Amino acid sequence: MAACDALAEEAEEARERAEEAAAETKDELQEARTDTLQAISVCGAAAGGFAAGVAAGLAAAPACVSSAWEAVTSWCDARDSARGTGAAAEQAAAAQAAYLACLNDHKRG
Amino acid sequence: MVADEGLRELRAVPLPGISRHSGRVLGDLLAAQRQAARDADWPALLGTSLTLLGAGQGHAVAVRAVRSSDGTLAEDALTGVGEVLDGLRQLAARPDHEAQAEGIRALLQESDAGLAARAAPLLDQVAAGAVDPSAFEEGERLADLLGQAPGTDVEAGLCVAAVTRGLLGVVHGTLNTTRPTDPDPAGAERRLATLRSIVDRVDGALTTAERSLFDACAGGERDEIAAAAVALARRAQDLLVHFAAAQAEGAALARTLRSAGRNADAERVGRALARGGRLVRRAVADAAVGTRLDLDLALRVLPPAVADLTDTAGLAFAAALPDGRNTEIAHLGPDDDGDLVEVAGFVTAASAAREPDGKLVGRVTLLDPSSGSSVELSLLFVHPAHAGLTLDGYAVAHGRYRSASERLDGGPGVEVDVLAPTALSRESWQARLWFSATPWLHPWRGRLHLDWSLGTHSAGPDDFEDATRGAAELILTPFTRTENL
Repeated sequence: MAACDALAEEAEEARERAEEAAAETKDELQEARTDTLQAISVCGAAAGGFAAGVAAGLAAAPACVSSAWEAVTSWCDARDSARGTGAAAEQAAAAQAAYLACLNDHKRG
Repeated sequence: MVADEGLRELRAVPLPGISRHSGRVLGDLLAAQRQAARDADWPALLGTSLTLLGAGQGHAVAVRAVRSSDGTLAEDALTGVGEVLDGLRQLAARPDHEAQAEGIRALLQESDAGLAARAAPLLDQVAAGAVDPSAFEEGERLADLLGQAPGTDVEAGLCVAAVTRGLLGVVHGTLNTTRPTDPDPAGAERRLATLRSIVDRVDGALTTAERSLFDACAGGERDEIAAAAVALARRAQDLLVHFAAAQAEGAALARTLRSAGRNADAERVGRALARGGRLVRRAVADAAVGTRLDLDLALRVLPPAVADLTDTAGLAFAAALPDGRNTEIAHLGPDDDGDLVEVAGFVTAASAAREPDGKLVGRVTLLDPSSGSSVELSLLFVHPAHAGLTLDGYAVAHGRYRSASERLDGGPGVEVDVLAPTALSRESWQARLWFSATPWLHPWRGRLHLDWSLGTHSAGPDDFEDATRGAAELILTPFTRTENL
């Protein structure tokens, strides 16, 4: 089982990396989501809906527009973070699959 | 309103720590259970099987929590980004979009120069009267990724494997530790009636739970589908221990009747037992699929196999498999050549060999003890002993009778029919349900239309060829497969 154990260690490490990357992405996404929801809320209160709020222009609700743009740019940050998460998750899944295949094939345990 | 809901409660939760090592924990438990089966150590098999059931369900809770959290987060984020995009598009569509964009640019510059710089490309688009959605589309892809809870696929698959193997282990453990008292042949009719009644009740209970899941799928509400899926898995689990014990009793009855020369009665018991063996596979498949659905319904986007299963449009509920004409072994002859027949009998021999092109072909001999007639079966790609078929068990086969079968060295026999999962799954939802268990359990081994009674297990090396290893499946089949049947 030594070969399986080595693969298991590798899978655990890959999984940890994926979790860290996912946690980072979630933070980014959470931030983007918070910004977006804040923008929607402010604009909704100001003009009865986000679309209408943005369209009403800065003069009516400058905070709204600022938040909306912040939200948009947060998405770009989150997107970059997600690329790392996807790669780490793929590595973790591959390492776990290799471990499972080792157990599957290991007739003598 | 989305905004109010979102601001009231941010539902994202951190990844639970329990998920971190699920892959290794479950993998090691599965390996330990296989070793117990290999050793025919029934107390250890029962212990590891029950642990697997508990661990599978426990880790499933963690996987589901991660998936639900990420799915919710992604769903909310998608709603948010959609609203932002709509707003920008409306802004760009205004007749005064250039003035609007410049006004925004000026104010952003005043309040946050860095933000103004980052927002400049999009403001340029607004000023030009059009918004390129690509930045948002990438955001959507991000939300999709998180909504699929990256890295949980292997663990979810292992949770289903743990439940599937746990149930199979409990069945074989029960079967091998139930010690039936020698039944009195005089009470055979009553015992057979009881056995049939149990088989009917299990069949009915599974059908009812499957029907509930079918109805929930037709209703389209994820929560209701998940609840019905869990109920199906639990129903199957509740039934299996008693059902396995009843089959151990039934096998003892069949042996007693054959010893007493009551062959016709023994065959009636055998038929009930073969049906019982089929129902065990069906129940385990139901539990596997129910568990899988419960896990995968927490994803934002359903995997194709799950989406297919939950789509009942145009599908009949019940599966009708291609049944052969019920034919007594003694009556098989040249007139039946090429016909789809159903034959049944006690297993007196089982082996496997390779054809010149390398194909594995299993061979089974069935005896009709009433007439003393036998028939040979060919099993394409299935080694009967490695599938758990045992000597003196009872088997029911559907296949083409050949007066001179190439698969049987030119001799007469029945080439067991290979079921067509894709075609059957297009016709009935039940078939779709059962075949979707394939990564964890082949509902019909090698897709062969063959049912057999459960048999006890003797220890031996992995390449043991004798058909005396009823729990061989626990030893020789992979925990999960990726191929589709």
